[in-house]
Amino acid sequence: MKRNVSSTTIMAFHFLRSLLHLNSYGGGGGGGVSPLRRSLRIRQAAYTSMAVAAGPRRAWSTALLRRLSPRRPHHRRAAPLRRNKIRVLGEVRRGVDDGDAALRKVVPGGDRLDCCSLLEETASYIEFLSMQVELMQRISSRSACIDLVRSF
Amino acid sequence: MDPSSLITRGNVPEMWQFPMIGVPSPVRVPAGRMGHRDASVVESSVTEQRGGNRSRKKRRDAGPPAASEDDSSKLVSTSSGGNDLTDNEAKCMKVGKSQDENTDSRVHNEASSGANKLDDPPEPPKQDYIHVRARRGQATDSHSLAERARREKISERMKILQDLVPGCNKVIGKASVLDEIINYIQALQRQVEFLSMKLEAVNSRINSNIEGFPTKDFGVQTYQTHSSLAFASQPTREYEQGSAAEWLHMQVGGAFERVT
Repeated sequence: MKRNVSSTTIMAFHFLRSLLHLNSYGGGGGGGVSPLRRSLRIRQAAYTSMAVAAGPRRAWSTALLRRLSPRRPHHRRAAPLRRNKIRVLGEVRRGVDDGDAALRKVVPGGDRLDCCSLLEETASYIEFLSMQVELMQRISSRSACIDLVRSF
Repeated sequence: MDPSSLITRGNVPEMWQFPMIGVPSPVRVPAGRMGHRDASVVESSVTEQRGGNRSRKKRRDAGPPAASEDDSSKLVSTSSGGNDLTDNEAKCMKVGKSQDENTDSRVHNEASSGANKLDDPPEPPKQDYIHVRARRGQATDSHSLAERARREKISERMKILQDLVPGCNKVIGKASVLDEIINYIQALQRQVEFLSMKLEAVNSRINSNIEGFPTKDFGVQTYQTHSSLAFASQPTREYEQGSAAEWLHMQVGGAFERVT
């Protein structure tokens, strides 16, 4: 429970900070960047803050950060062939069914995990994802309140 | 056929022995009981010494459940139904008839029934033991042990997942549970997408309010460091642990005050 609370605060802190950064980066009433791109960036910030709050121990958080980090595109391209091969081998050996394969696609970094740790990562991922959704709902409702007050 | 019509003075001890002779052991006991009850009624009127002795002795045996090794244990270990009782009574009558013809083999029959009695008690525990062994039989292989441990692990985690995902407890079957989980994750991801769009729409309107907030500078710095996989930059984490909640409150509340 304590861990949950601390990771919630880490997540909120990180997400708000990146929101601030995005706002300051968009600069002066949203001049240069289109709204779609901005919402995409907010989404990326949300996932990044989730991953940061989860810490480096989790497979899904490292996979998310690796996917979202802008610095290593070639690394991302080189890896999937090897990973796919491992995954296929694992499926043949363990007889994983379709639901598992779909779960591997949904959970980031799940394509190279075995069944047990895949389920564990899924549980953690769901936990953090729901926390993130709750946080964003709170922020958006507060922001909506602010907006409402401002419109008066 | 009425038992009292069949029973004569010489036949009464045979009636006592018959339940022990031709019938397999679990069926025999209710027959013995039945004969015991019937004969005790009849016996009191017809014979004096032998049947009376026997019935008294049997009653004494049936009293404590596990006292003697043959009679009482059988009485306890087997279940007696009403159908069995009537069937065994009929069998008892038939055998009694056939035994009437050769009366001299009575002693031999008694001996054999005694032998049967002695053989019987070890049998039911043996069957029990075999049953238990068959239940535990497959656990000795190390591969199957490992496989079983893995399956237990998986099912335990599936239970955790079922607790996490709302509405997943009613679903039966692993595949449908996985489907539910996937649907839930996708719904959450879609919700994140929607909320980010909403936040973008709201944020662009209150952009000017948040701008100029003093934490802007270090926000830019740490954002740049985090983009290169920096989870555990120690100073920021300490700062977060200490005052992140207040910071969150201050941030939103500060914006609120500024607006009003």
